[in-house]
Amino acid sequence: MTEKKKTSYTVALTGNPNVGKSTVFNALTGMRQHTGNWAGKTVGCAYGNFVYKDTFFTVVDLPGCYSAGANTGEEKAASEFLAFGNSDTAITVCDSTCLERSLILAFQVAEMSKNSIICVNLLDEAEKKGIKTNLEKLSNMTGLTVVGTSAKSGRGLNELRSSIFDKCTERDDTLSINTDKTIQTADTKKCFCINYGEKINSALDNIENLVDVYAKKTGMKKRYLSLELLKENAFTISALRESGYDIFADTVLCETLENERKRIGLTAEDIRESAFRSIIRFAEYTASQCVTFSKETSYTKRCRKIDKIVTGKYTAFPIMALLLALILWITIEGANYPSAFLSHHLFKLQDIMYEGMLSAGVPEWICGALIMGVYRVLAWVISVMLPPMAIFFPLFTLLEDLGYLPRIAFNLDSAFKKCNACGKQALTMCMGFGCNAVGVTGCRIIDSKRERIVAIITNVFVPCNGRFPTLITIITMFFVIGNGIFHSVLSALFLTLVICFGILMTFLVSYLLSKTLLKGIPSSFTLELPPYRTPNVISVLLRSALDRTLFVLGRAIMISAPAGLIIWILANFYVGDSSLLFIISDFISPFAGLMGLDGVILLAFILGFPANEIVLPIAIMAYTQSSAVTELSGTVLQSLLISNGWNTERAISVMIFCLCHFPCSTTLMTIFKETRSRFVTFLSALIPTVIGIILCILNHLIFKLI
Amino acid sequence: MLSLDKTTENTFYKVENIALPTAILNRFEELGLIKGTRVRRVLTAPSGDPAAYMVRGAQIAIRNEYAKGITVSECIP
Repeated sequence: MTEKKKTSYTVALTGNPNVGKSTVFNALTGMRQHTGNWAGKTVGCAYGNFVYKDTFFTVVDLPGCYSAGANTGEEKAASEFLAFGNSDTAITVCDSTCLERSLILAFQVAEMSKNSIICVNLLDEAEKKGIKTNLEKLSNMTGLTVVGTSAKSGRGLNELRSSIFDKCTERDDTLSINTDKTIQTADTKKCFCINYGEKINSALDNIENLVDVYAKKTGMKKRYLSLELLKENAFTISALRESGYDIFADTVLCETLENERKRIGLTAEDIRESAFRSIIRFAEYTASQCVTFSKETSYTKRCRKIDKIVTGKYTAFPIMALLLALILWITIEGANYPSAFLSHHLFKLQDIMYEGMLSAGVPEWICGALIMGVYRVLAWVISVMLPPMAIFFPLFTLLEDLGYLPRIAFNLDSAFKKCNACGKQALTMCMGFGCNAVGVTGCRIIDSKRERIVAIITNVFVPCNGRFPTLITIITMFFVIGNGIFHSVLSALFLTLVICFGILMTFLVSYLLSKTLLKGIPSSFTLELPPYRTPNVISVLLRSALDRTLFVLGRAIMISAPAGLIIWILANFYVGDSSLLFIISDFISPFAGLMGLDGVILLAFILGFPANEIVLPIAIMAYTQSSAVTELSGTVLQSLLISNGWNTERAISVMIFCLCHFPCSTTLMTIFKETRSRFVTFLSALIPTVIGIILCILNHLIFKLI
Repeated sequence: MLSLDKTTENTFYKVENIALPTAILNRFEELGLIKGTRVRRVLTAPSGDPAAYMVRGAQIAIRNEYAKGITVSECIP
């Protein structure tokens, strides 16, 4: 038997933010990690696998970064992974529409990892912009394997897979005795090497032998490690110490480093700057040789025109409001029909099941608990809450894929700056519309820690997907009553106002936090405005609607069903003459009354802590315990609420409290995970709740005065 | 010679000097914005701040307070 060849390899995927790295990852592994058209969509590493020619590959999708300079957390994670030889091959995904900048990172990666491939992605987009890249020349100039792809359409992916296979296996072959000579092509013998100028090059030559031992042990490249030490890169030195190699203990090496710096007359900082400039210059030169631009195409002109309008002095804000209103209108109008259909059939089924179980001899209290408790809340969540979510989420995803969100951040930055916060908070705020937990995770794109915490705490003021069906229901029942297009447009505008109020609260709280607890000045802000990309409409609609539907259904079953059971038990267990539910809601009712709420709805907010979707269903459950309501269409629900003392005042209070109260348990858990701080987590729950209570009391007082 | 925030849209400029705190300087360096880089202002936010510039083929939004620290001079397209 011949020696067994390695059959599994690790491939690292790096690239600037928003170059379609996740699309390449998905295309390679067949996974469905969500992609969006803005820098910083992927936070944290994702892992996936694929099999090619009976060989198993693990792909690690590293977070996007602009350089391997270890300035931000993402960059640190990425450069540590690459430098310490954790991967068999590193692929740098480049944006062919701005290859020059992509190459800076690609060259840094090629310097630090032993095997690297340049994947020139977005070829389609570049062609539309009249940009042509000579891939062969790029490969010849750099000595690296270059593959051109258009991951979205699948172009070039097979070539990429086979290049990965070749790269991984050829390295293996040179190590093992059983060499397969056929795949040793001429290209692969070339070595990528940046010319740092005579001085630094000679210093590197003198150090390389001394660092050899560390390089072998840690899997780092000799030349790269030498340069890092010459630069005195604190991150690399501490990473080495963590793996058990203290450079400072090696006096010979330290002395040599010091002498070399003296000999060439450069400080560590000079070397860092000069080395980085050499890389930039090489990228500049390579790009100028390999990329040809034709005149501005109609595509570029159209993009520019759209940008002029959506960021225009007088058009920017009206367009933002109109787009929001439009999305909300489609959601409200579109959700009507499936809602009515689902509620009609699900509640009809309720009676059939109840009767059926009774006649089968099941005790009445079990039937009650299961059908009137568990099933009814489930039916409610599914019929009233699910349709708006399933419509809103895909629409929002379309806007995200299009590339509109960074423009919102661009427009709103000066407002955020006035609040001493970061313009990127606009992005995380937008993510909050989908789900606050996602918004909180997204805050990683904000570099300054202070600004990140401000963004995390204020994220909850944007109503998430689970909350605005509640808002819609209340609006259509108490403020815009009636059917037809006119009324749904009015409801959408009303909801837009409510959301604008939430955004206003975001600004206000950000400002107050920056002036008190989280004092500081706004930090550096650079934001990339990506080109517009046509989203794949059908796949987005299907995928996000389906994902969302499954997610909400799962959550409904996991959380709403037990909550329904608890409510039913509370309502049907009597202590003396009154039910537990009555006793508890009676107990908190004076306080709730002060806020313009009643005990039941406040209790519903508290019980709705695991999931905001179930607040309204819980309240309705509690209200209907006494009455025999079998179907809850709009008018029945309205009269049910009115008969329980609801009026305009209470509706406003419920909406205010819905907008401003503690985040759901998932979001709080995410906040703790992101900040590792009990205090921040506590603040995130306390601040919106206190504000909600104050506003509700104000509302109550105003109505009392009128 | 003028500072980047005073530039007019769609004219090409060359960066002559950058005088900014190191942390911000590093950020710009990563984006490839260093002495000698060609830039072009392409968009201005509704309030006049920030503005977006073409830097090495990408549109980057930079706040005026930092753009003030970047000196540029006009150059041929």
